[in-house]
Amino acid sequence: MKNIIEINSCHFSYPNTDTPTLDLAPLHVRENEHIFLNGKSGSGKSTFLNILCGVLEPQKSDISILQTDITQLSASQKDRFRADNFGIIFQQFNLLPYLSVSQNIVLPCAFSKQKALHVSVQESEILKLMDALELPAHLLHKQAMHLSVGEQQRVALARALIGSPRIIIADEPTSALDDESKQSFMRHLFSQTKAQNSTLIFVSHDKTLATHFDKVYDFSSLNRVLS
Amino acid sequence: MKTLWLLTTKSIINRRVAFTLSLISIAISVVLLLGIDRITKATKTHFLNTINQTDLIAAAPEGSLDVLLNLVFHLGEPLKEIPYSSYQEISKFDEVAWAFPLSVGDSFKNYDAIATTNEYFRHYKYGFANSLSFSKGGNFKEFYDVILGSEVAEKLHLSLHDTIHLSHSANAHTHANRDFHICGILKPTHTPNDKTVFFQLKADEAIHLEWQSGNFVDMHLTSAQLEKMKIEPKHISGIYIGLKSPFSLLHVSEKIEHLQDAHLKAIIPAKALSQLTFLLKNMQELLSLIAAIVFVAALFGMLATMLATLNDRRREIAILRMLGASVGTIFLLFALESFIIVTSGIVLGNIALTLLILFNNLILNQAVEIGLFPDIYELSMLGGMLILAIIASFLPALKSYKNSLLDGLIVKI
Repeated sequence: MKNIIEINSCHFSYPNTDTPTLDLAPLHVRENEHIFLNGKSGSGKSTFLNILCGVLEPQKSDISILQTDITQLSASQKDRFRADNFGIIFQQFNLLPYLSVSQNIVLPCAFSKQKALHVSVQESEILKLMDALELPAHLLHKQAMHLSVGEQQRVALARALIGSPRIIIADEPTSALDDESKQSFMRHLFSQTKAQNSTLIFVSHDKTLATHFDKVYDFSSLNRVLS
Repeated sequence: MKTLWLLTTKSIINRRVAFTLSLISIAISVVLLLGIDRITKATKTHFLNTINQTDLIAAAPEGSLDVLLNLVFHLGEPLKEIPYSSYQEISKFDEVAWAFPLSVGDSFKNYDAIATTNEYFRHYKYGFANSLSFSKGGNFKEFYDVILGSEVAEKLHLSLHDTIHLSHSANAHTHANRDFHICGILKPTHTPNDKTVFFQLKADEAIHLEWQSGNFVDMHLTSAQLEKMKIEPKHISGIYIGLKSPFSLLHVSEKIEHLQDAHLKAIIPAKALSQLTFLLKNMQELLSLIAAIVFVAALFGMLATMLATLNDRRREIAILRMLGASVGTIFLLFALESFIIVTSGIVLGNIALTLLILFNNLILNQAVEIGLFPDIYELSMLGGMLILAIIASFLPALKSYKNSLLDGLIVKI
């Protein structure tokens, strides 16, 4: 199987600081793999995710994602690359509060032609995803700000999944959820990424979620600055 | 672009209270800025047309502003009197189409009283060649008839056939026993005529005849008897003159200045009026300056609200960045939002101004008709406001652009 993400080295320090924030040990992620990154806050994982998504530029690195050396891309190419190949979910406040559920879900298609091409009929794709994630259809035109946190995270998941991006990045997506919603969220996350053949990078400090993942990494041991 | 539009409009709707307030403050400043310009222009036009189609005014040799103020606006120190015979001579000039005499200096309850003839109401023109017209009654008929300007009648609650008493100069005794009867009331003109009481020149002379050595002797003469006496004034204040052809203006002025037995000067009222407009100009500039400051304040108000909400919107920006929006798109999004606020403020201000002017012109039926449409100067002013607004809108856009570079995808608030 091909390596989807290949990090051989990565050095990053924020401007005006003496100490580096990141010095990564090599990390290879294969296609369709589900990776669990365990890390405390302050371990540099936000920085790592920003670099992975092409928002921050490392000072020295050897990173290739989908056979592309992302450090060689221009800023706008990086934006397009992220739009085309990534689906991202955060801990909380993933949605634009003033847009409806359906407007939030299809938003990635506005920024990525590739995703838009994957979705033949937007309306039916939205309904399909909502159905798969057990989101009732009557929420379709409801404003995102009126949803419960559990519903919001599932809508965010639907948005990350639309257009079948190759890589799904989830950064503490369940930390604001109660136990029951957490379980159902994880179930949906696994079944949908499998169905779409997407690679999953899951970042969390909650080790109880680590079961079912193909590989589990401790981020503080990946980051040489900390060890 | 469609998405940009959707995001902007939805975001504005989401912040509708702040949006509406910014919008209204900009609209108000537009109404002020354009309204002041529109009103001062209308006032200026109206002022310049206080008197129209009177080619010359002959009076004692004083400065033309003095003559104008005295004989048109009834203000200032009284002029030296001129002989009535000069009027008779001038009206016989070949070039003169019409001429009528008038005498100022009497008053009625703080309103000026002008002694003249029926010719005044036929030849006095104002605005765009409007004639004076009567709302009630008509010209002088009886010897002691009086005609009131609209404001005099309204403020003093006088109506047709009422009796009044005139006094010579504002603080002197009234000619208490001489009754004048109101024979006509003029329609409003928004000229000094509204504040004027008119009576016959010969009546002016007759009153003074009846006053002998400080005592009033009512000779109980009827109008017909008085007419028979052919009373003629000896002195008047000035003469309004209309010419057959404007080309004889200088020639006639010269003839007037060289009249025998009198020392006269002729002024051109239109020229004197335009000299007075510098008074308006300073006022207009001051008001426009205030309006411009109000507009800048409104812009700052909008910037303040936009910058205040910027912190709350960092998550929103991170989400858009996460979905692949470039920093340029973020910049555009914010620039578009403030652009929409300002343009709709300007449009709203224009609509409000047009409605206000329509209300003034149609409902209030003011004589000063204000222009409905912006002229080139105002359009360039609107253009300037728009450019200023676009520049101002770059500020929140630039700030959010910088935020998005710093925050990346993960916002820690």
